[in-house]
Amino acid sequence: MESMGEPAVSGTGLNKTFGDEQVIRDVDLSIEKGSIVGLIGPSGCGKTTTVRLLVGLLEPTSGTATVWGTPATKLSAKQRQQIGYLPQTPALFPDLSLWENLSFHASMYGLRLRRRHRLHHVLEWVELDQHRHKKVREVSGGMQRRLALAAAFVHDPELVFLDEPTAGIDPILRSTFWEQFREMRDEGRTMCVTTQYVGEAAYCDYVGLLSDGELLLVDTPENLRKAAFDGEVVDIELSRAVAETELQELARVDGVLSGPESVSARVWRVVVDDADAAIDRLDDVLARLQLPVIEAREHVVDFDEAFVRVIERHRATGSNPVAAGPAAVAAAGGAA
Amino acid sequence: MRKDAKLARLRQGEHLRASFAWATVVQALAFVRKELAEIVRQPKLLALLVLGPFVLLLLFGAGYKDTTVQLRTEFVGPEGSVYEQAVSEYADQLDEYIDARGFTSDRQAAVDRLDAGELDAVVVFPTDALDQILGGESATIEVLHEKLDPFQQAAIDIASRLAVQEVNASVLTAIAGGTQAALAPVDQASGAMTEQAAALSSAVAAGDTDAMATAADTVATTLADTRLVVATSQDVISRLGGSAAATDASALLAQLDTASEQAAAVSTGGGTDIADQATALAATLDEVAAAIPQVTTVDPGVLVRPFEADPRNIASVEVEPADYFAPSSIVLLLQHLALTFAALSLVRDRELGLFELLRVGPLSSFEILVGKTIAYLTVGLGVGAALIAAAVFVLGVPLEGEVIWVAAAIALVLLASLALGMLLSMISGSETQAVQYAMLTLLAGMFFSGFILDVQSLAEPYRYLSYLLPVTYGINILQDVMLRGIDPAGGDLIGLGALIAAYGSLAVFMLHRRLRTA
Repeated sequence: MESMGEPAVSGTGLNKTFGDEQVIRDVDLSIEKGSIVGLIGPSGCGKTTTVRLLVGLLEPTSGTATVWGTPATKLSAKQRQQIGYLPQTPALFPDLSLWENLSFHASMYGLRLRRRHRLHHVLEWVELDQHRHKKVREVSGGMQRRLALAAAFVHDPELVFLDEPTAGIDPILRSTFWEQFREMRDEGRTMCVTTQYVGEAAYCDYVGLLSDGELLLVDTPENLRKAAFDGEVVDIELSRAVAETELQELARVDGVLSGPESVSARVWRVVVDDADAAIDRLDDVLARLQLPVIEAREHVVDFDEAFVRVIERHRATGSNPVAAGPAAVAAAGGAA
Repeated sequence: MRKDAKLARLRQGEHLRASFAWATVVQALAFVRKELAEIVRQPKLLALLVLGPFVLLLLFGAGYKDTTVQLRTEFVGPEGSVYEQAVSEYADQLDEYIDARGFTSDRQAAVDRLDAGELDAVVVFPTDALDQILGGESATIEVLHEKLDPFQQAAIDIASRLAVQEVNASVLTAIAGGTQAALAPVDQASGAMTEQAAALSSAVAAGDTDAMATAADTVATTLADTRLVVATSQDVISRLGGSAAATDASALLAQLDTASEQAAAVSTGGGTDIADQATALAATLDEVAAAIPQVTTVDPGVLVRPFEADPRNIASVEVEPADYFAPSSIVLLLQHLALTFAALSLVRDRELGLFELLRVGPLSSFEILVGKTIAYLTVGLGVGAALIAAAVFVLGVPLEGEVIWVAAAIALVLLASLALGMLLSMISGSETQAVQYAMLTLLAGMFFSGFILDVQSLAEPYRYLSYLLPVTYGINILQDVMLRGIDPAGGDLIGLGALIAAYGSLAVFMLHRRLRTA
């Protein structure tokens, strides 16, 4: 479908204005074939608008969005046949059964009429096969969401845009879905997923962090963590409270980028370039200072914390933590 | 292992995809199945679709009274006048249209009863008719009513004119009847003249000049009356193109003039040869008497009312009012049904968010509309067949023509209505708006399609609106096929075809723009 080396999806200098309100500002994003890019950000930050621009539902006010090198709004029917799309509000017919709804989507994408097994399998995937005869109006919102997800995959698309696919779905099933997204990614499928669950960033190959219509960074999940503190974090736990002056020397240890700063009375935090290397050096200094150290360990920043820190810092200073973009993604070399 | 198998099955979609040509059919079928399923899931809607129109037709057929409405009418005129007598004499002839509620000289009282709704009409005869007529003016008979219904107003207007014409004819008949009293019937004049000729001859034989003069006076009167009728007849015959008969009458008139001159001469004493002149008059009278039966004359009653209408329907089948309205009602209902379905369907899809999926997906606007059209056409044909069957087998509406033409008419009306409905759905912002458009089209169908008023009764620019409605052509076709038993007019078939092409193309174009314009 796409030429070698060409990204599956690309957005360059995307801007979108509704009336006087600019909702997307200078977004550059490139999604390599066989990767999962997650778009995360606070509610109303522009995730859905970005997806709608990339899939061709909206014409950008300025900038270009392409899919397989073709402008997203000019895709051929054959190209569209290879795209799966899950809108934020699922389009399901309330008076039809789950089976009939899925069958409608299968027909819409030209799947041949002998497709019973396919529909069963997709419904099994979202754990709805036993409910297939129920009408949509008779099932819960979560089940409707799962059905919409099944509909987005029923034709086994090459490229899938999922706008909050796991909203309203229980954590266990969410985890299952992500595993299966990753396995489909391994088969060469490309996905662009928005989510409100920041923790789901861990499942993505790249994460795009949006705030107020701006793409603050696009990077691997690990680098997102680092970006939150501009490095790796080491926490030093002491057996008694100490004054900050007693720890001044830690700031001069090789590899320490910032700190120490107090997390609690007996826990202090420093940001380092490489936690493994820095911990040994920190241990030496702490021993020399004869401080009552219990442990110096790497603090694994969770995505929620990283997300909040980056967003707050951006709102406070207006600065982006990492100058990321298409180049950064391309440099990362596709799927992790 | 089990999970791998599950995923493997999930990733087999590529092999499930139909070939390109077949995929188009499958994609259109998506909407056929979806729309049919949604309709079938609503048994009340189905029952309403089929039974509702049928029950309406049944009620109309049973309830329609095929009788002329009698107007409760009071007559106003001078007490003891000729009008009072005439109303009572002609009461029997009037009672088909008029329920006579009496005669009064109090106009205001009659008008008050009209205002109170006790009367439908008040007929006011002129008090000074003779003066007006002698003054060279027509006397006016007022007909007062308070009808708002334009059809009833027209009926009263027409009935009044007919009644006045009847009065005028009656007056003329009476005048002519006076002539007839002296001479009539004209064909009997020959006998009278023969007798008068014999009387003249007797007087000549007796040498009684006074008797000759008296007989000549009688002859002169008879000749004058006869001349009036013959001359009038000649004029009527001439106007009606009866030239040969008119020639015959002209010869008779010349003989009558000669006889009149002779009678005048005898009557005035005529000089010494009065006996010869009387003998000549008698001879001329014999000739006239012999000529009269050869000449065509017209009865005085017929002279003032030479024509009367005798409407006869030469159609092969007698059509009752319910029969007449049944095909129109079916077409109108089918148009409304198809149009509403189509208009609501696309709006509902849009409100459901389906358009967002359609814009991302591979379906073309043509495939979407074809799919929906097939579904609704199937339902519409079923409903149409049920309504036609019920009309024919239950209500006894005639079906004189070919069934295939009925089916074709219904299919074409449905297709044109669906195309129009889809076009309306493109400009509707919500379901409420779509319903309003459907109701407006239904109203337009009632006023402009020939359902109530003949299309030809509409003025030229406004009549074009009729030609934009599928129901206009559908009514023509179904009435031709079902009631007249003839094939549909080519113009009606072409009209429906043109609407399908025009509305369909516009709907496809507008949906395409809606789906493909980001």
